[in-house]
Amino acid sequence: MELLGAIVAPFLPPLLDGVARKVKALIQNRMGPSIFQTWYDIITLLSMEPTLPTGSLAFRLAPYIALASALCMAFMLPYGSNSIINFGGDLIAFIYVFTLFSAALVFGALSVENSYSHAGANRELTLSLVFKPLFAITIGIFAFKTGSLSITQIAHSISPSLSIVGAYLLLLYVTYVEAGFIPYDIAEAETEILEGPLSEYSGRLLGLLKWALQIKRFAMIWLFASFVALPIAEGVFAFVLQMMVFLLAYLLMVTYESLNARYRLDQAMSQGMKGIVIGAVLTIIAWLGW
Amino acid sequence: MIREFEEKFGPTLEKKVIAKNKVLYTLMVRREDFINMIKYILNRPNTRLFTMVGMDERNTEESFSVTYWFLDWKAQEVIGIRLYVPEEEPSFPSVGAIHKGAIWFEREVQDLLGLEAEGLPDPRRLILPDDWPEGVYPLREDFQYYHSPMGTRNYPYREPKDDSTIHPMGPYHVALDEPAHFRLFVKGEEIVDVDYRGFYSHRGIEKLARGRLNYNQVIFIAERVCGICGFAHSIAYAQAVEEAAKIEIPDRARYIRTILLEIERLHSHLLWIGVAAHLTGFDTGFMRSWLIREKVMELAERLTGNRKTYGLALVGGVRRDLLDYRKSLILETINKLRGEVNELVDMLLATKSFIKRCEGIGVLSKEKAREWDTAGPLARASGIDYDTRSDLPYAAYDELSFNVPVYKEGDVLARALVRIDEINESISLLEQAVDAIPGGPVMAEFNEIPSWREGISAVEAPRGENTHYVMTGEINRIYRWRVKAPTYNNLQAVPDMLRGYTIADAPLIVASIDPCYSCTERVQVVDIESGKAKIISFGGMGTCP
Amino acid sequence: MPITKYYPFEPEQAPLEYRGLPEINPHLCVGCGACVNVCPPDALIKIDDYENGTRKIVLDIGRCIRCARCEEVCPTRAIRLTREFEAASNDRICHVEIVELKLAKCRECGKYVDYTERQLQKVLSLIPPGILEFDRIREKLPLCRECKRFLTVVNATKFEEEMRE
Repeated sequence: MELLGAIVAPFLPPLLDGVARKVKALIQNRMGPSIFQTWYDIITLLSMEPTLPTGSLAFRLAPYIALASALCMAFMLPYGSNSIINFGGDLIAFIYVFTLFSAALVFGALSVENSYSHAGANRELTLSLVFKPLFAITIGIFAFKTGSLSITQIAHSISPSLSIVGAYLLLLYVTYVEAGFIPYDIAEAETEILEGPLSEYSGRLLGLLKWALQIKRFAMIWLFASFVALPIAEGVFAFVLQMMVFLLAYLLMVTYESLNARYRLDQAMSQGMKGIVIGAVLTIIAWLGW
Repeated sequence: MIREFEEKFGPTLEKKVIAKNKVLYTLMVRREDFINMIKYILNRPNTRLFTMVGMDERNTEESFSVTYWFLDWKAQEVIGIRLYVPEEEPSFPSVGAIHKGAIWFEREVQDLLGLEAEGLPDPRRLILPDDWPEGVYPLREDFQYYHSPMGTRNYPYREPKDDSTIHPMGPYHVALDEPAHFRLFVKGEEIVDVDYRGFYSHRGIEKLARGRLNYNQVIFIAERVCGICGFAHSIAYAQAVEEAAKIEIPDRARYIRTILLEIERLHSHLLWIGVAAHLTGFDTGFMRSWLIREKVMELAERLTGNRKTYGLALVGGVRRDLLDYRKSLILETINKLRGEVNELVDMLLATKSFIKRCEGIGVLSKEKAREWDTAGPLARASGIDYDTRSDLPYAAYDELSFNVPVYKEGDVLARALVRIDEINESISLLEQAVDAIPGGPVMAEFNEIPSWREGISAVEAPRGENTHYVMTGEINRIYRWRVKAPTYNNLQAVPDMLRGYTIADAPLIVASIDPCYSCTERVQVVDIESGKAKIISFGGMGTCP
Repeated sequence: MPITKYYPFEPEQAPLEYRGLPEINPHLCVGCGACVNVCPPDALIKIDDYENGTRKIVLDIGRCIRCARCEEVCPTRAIRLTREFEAASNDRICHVEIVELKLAKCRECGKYVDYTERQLQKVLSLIPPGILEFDRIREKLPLCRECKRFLTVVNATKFEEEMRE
């Protein structure tokens, strides 16, 4: 089961993105591209030679590191009752690989002499400085209440309480932000900074980066779905429930995305800071036992 | 204004009356008074620099001339002050030193005619490309329009004064429709200063019209000056020629022109709303507003034969009549539009994230707006109550009633609200015009257009005032045609609007003036990269002089 | 209802009033050149060959701006704007349409004149029949300019002699 999920995980996200584009198009009264369009784009990109604006190794390695981190994130998550990478402290490892993804993007962007890439790297770093700790705090509440540092274990043993409910809401918010949907896709904003860190990439390297971004989005939402589905189901039934929660959450997020404009960096930052304060309060509530 | 001006400066000037409220004064003696006169006019309330024309009159008057036209929009009067500049001493006192709005006009005259403005604050090249040689001036009479000289490449960009980074927005940027180069000097995300370089798509329209085309062929070129407000340009040109030749166009033609101008305004404002939404990432607003706009484009296609470039204006009237079934088509479309536009506006104003991106951004104060002679929704959002339709009426606007929306805040949201209000006003104007259209011919009868007459006219395009100046010439040709688009003035105000805001806001601020680069720029194609000049040949027909 | 469609897999037709690509009907064209005079971008040009006696009206759709002035001035409605708008092609030669007409020959000296045979026929068909026979116009046509001037002078002297008698 986990193996099946692990094989599907890298190849499903672009198809989901195609579905998302179709949904957005229907909301906007047009036909939209076919649902395989994102796959076609990625395959075309992967078949082209990249033009390298700099000889730096960081530039060439960054997409591979980003893809590897995203895949690690996906493999550490449970499909059904278990995950293929499962050890005692894998929650910390998850946060680590998650941060490594942003770091790879930033290093790749800073290795070029392009002020748009630098602006994008600047934004990605600033956002990470606020939202990664927020994510850690939210997951920490779950870890604290269930007494374990392994994702699969946590997912199985969540029991409802006041702080857990608050943590779920906060997790929904953080998932939406980190999945890079429109109010918050500030680092890769197309119209403002020509796609920021991605602007100097082309060909195969760009294809890998885009794929990695899709897989990261998938992993974040799958984590949320696991936390919702696994406490109440087992085995195959759990997998089915995960899929359903995932699809529902994905479609709702896509719909919300198409009804919003992009935030400016300072606006997103102030929201994130408020989130951290709420997270701290929830942690105290959890520590007090509720 | 004209009366007071004449009382003060009358004796030294030679006066020529162009039309009922438009007067041209030529300086015969005492050039020193030139700046005093201009200061006097500009210090009065409600005056603005209308346009500035440099002409090569060496064939008729033995020297170049520089004419500054001013408009007093509350008194509805136009004054022109002409100064003759001899060839041996091609320089004149710069008005740009006292009034910022004249800077680009003088830079252009320097580039194209070789007349130097003494004391001009920014004497760099404006229009000519990097590798154009010195001393060759395209608009002079002795320069053939198909000539492409070679030179060396050098442009003095401004360097940042402190340690800010240069963030080039353009010439290629996803947020700009046409090439323009905004060099943003940034510190982190904040913009400290801006250097603008434009005129990448200068097409040489004024030179082309000189001597090669007759009056009704130039009107088609005028329509292609801009892809969005082309019809306004062709009407402004037609009006200038009609004023020069003293042709009265029939009433029905005036109403048809009004109807088409308002349809153009509708589609342009809806386009802008979509573009502003897209630049902030709000694609649903973009798609919705262009969906509504599609109905306007289809209406234009049924009325005139094409979605854009209507091709309906001629000197003396319009080409085709508006038949009855077309009138009912217009009314049907407008009724559908009204409801949909209200829905769109409600959706936009309810999207908090979009409003947060627009409020308080790119503020232009009223004094600065007046200094740079901005026009159109940009000026009206900063508190200047000027609309050519009501202040210098043309076509059928003096017989229709409408409001002019004016806001005080001067930020991007105010400009959006001005345009939204104008959409509603256009809908009401269209209804009135279709209702009140009189019968009669659509084309005036006239024999021949006399030579050496001048006419100047303005039209309120969706972006502001379009000013066309025409001097008619011999053998049914134009001698000088000067086009001034509103974006010419509005772009000069952009650096002031960008300072202090972030990179994320820059595309939105630039888009909020609704820039139309093709209106602003008007010469020749020199391929800098390959070093080759492309000589554009015209079918070898022997019509070139 | 989606506003977009799968063009070019679904066909798209322009409305009736659309000003599309122009097309010349060679049976109706008389080669008068009114369209050439009026075309703003010189998409229509006229090439006369006095050696072989042909006139070519060349229409280049690539230069056409679809203003429809040619359609307005054509006396025989030979050039019309269709509803076609798809002009893309791999070779520019596909955009060029040439109508070749024969120039009329002067009946006196045998040189080619600067109007076509069809123009002559069209003009003759417009004149009411009584006038044609009365002024013996048909005898005088076609004539080149020199021969026409010569004939006018000859007729004028003959008339003056007759008057004197």
